[in-house]
Amino acid sequence: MGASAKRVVLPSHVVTSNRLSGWLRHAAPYLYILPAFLPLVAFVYFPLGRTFQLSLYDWNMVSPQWRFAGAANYQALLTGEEFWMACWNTVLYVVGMLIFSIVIPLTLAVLLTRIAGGLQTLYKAILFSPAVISFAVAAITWLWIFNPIDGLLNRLLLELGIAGPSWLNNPRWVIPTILIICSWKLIGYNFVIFAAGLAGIPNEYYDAAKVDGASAFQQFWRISWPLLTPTTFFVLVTTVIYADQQTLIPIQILTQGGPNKASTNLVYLIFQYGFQFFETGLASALATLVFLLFTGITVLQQRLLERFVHYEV
Amino acid sequence: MRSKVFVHAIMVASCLATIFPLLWMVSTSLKAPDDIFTPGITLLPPRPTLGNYQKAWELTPLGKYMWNSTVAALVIMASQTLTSLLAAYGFARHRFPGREVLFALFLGTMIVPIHVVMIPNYILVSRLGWIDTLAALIVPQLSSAFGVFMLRQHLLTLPKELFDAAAIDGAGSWRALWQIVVPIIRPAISALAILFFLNAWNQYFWPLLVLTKPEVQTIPLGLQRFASTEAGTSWGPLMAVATAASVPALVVYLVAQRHIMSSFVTSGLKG
Repeated sequence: MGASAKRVVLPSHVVTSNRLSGWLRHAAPYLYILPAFLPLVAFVYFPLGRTFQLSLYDWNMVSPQWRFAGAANYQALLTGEEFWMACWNTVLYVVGMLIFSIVIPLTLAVLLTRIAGGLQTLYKAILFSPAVISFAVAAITWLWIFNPIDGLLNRLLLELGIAGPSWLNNPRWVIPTILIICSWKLIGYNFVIFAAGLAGIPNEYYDAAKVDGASAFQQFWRISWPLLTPTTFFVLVTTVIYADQQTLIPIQILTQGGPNKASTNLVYLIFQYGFQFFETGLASALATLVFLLFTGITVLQQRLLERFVHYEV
Repeated sequence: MRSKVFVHAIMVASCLATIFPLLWMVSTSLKAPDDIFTPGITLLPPRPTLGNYQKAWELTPLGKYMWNSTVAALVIMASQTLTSLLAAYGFARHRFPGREVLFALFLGTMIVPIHVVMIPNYILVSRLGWIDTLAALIVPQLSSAFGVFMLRQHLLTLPKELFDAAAIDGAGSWRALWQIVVPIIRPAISALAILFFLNAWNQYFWPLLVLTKPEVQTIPLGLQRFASTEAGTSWGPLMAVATAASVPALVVYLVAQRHIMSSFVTSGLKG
């Protein structure tokens, strides 16, 4: 009796729960995705559109007045001297970073393949360590080392009889100095990526080359370098993006773009227009240009990658 | 044999050059005021003292900075990890209309750098009245497209049979997530959480825009504030703050070095 009474009760309960679970089954994937999706819409897609929109207006961020300016902001940028100076400096930063942060890590990674054992891991761990340090800490620590009077570098130079320059206040030295700080953060990171790429090349290739009497340089040039191209392209893309974007932090902390704009770059200029001069429209126009430029470069690099990379390993 | 010695020599020299600024930072922070300016490279403080830390504690709200950094980094880490896990599971283990488009929209956010969206985001956050609150720092970073991407990759490698078995057991997708999926991919989840923590702990630029008062600032901002007011006069206390800002990150790195290297390598390097 009791059992059959339960059976009578159960179906209606099951029916409602089925309806509910049926609805849930369809909605479930969207519900899983929603919490991650909402912040990205609100803080990436919405402002991205907003930046394009703002770039067409003349506005100072606080006034209720928005004046439509059409392409005037873009025109002001492209005809002004500051923009081209920042462009040139951006090129210097990118080229400098590519030289420091690709040649050195690649050389070290190739050397690392010649040794084995526990020390390899130790070397990697130490070389990688600047990557986990805050850029603010890196900037301030190097500020101490580069201090013109009491800093370690100039004191050591003085002992050699050389009067070191005022590194960050000298238009000739300021970009190389910032490049050293940025490279310090990036070299170990790129090194670990190159080392992983090299470790993925089968040993048989080198064994065969050795049998044929290939020199160390030939082994690198004929085997490592071509097979490493996917890794090299990856490092190339990250380094260009890094030189474009992350240089902002040492520039803001150490030089504010100076002396006399010698160390400014495009991204720092966006920051200045936006948050120091409150030229919201001008800053947005510059942000739009920089975004298009670097997205363009990334796409171009991607194309080149598809064209030239040897994938067969 | 001789070439191996040569390679080791170069590696050791590179390691020393890399680690030197950090050693110099710690060493300066432990030196007595008179020993900071002695000639030559004195890495070992002749008269080690914690005086600089004491002075930094008096001159700056160091405790407050550390507390704000800790709260912000832990909340961002927890939220990014959880939202990434849920979304990755939604994408990897369900079929639904619009899946490919939505996933492409997630990936698309990864190519948008902060400086392109910072002005509208600043305006939005200030309209909400969040300037100088931790909400301004945390809310825009509640989720991470990279996290979704990485965990989805991991979930796609799990065998389908695992989920069939769960379905036969009558476990719904929610229970399968917590009872089957999470225990299996726990290493990937912790690696990701560590990465999120370090990035949040170290970040400088967005907090600089939205946190202007010392009471709400995080440690990298506190360091910069201290440097801009004291630099040139008190390198000892300044290096003490820099060391305090680095110790949590370095400890996490020492404990989970292997995980961190591989997840940083796939995610790209941030400030």
